[in-house]
Amino acid sequence: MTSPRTRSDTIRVLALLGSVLMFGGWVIVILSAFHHIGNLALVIGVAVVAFGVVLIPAGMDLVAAREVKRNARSIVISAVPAVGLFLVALVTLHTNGPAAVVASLCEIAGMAAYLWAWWAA
Amino acid sequence: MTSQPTSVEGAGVEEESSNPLLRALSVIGPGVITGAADDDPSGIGTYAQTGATFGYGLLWMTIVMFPMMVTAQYISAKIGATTRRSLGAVIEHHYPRPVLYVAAAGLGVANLLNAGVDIGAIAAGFHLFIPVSIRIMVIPVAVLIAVLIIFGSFHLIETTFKWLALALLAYVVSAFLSHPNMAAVLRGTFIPSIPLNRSSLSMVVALLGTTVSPYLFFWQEQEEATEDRKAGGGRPGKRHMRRVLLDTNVGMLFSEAVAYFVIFSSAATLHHTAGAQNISSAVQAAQALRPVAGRAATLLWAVGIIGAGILAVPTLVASAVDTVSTIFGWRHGLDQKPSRARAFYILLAVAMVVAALVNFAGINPIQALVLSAVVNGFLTPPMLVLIMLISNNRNVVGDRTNGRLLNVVGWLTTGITTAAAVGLAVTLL
Repeated sequence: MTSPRTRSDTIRVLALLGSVLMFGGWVIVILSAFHHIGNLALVIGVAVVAFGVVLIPAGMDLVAAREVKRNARSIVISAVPAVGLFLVALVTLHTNGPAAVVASLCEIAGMAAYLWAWWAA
Repeated sequence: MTSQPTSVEGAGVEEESSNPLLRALSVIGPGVITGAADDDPSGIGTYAQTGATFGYGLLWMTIVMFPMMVTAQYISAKIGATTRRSLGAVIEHHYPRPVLYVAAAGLGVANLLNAGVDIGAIAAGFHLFIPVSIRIMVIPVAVLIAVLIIFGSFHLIETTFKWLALALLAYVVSAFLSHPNMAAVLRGTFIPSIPLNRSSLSMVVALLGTTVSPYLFFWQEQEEATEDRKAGGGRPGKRHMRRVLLDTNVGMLFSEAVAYFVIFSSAATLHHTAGAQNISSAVQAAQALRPVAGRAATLLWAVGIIGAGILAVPTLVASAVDTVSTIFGWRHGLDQKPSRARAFYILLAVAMVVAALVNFAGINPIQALVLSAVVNGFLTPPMLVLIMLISNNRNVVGDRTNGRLLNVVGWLTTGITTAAAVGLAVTLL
């Protein structure tokens, strides 16, 4: 039998995994629009890590802040526009072939993992 | 509940993980979300306008504003964690009703104006993708956000849209690619100077208004109160308050770092290279990202503005409507189901319509971003006085009143914001 703490940790790990993947997907899309990445690799690297440190953990409190509006409609309404915007950004910022595929997979898998955690919390 | 709550230092019961990484990550909470929401389109527009008009001259403001912002937000969070009530409810329970009415009215006007100009900026962002006029675009944008917050989960919206803020990373890179005069940058960062005229005072008030924003006091206070109420347990212990302080510091540092680089890159590209003094369109604002993204600069700017706007507009509208709901005793909060908080959501929809109408007043949408920040700058001093009085009232917070340092910085912040607002008012007479 799974202990309550193990279950909470599983939810947190799933949420963390989802967040990291979504973050990765967006990083690929945004960086694909940048020029001169090679010249400023260190600056970009530090900035990406800083954004990640701030953005990834925010929203991990799924267990403490259990959602009242937890239903399929909430998922569709909240997540579909974000996926739509991701695809628009992917196309308009001209993310190239392989990068676009990896970014899309990250976004879809990340969102699925996060939504699963949100539902299970 | 599905898991066993663990007591934390006699107060604030949290479900702590045994995994150190997961425990470290749980430190981040309302402070970071509030910091991210602070970089809303009005904020970004104000920072960009600051750089375009004054070059590097006002970079020092971001350093001065950091402790002011942390203090105001930490005090707000402390009130929330201690009372576990929204700021509106705290005022209602401990102060005469007119205080609540005045606070609700001030917050309502400033927030709806701010939400309105943010909706206009989101529409301007979409306009760069879709060739439909900004005014027409305002309507679907307002409807989309209303549907998102009424029928969707705000927690999910925050989590799925916050990644768009990554586009702001382009400002950091652009600052380095724009061949800045580093001596001038360092002078602007560490040597405070300000010409005492209407233009510069307007910008200082706008910067203070968009950074030390009243709606953020209400928002973080409510988020902290809700989080702690859900967690259960007694009054917050020292360890819990240290977590809140760390969370607030991280959030505000992020917010101020973004502000710094938006001013920096706008100064380098718009003021020093293009010779622009005034930003009047989205395309012009986006030119600050040209060194890093070339022709994709406008689209990258649009992604950042849309993401920042979708995070900020719900918090702006909801914090105003929350306070009004408190007056009428309605069930309220974005975490409520529409069927259980009908009056709250109807008022929220009406507020969205009013906010959207701001865009039909004939004001340039980009310049309106700065105007909204100035209005917030006038509201900040009285709201700061209010939270300072509440946080020192033993009847409200018990023995968790402010320490000496918090009081000194808090009242200093109140004094500085008041002096700036009065100074601007004098130049307007």
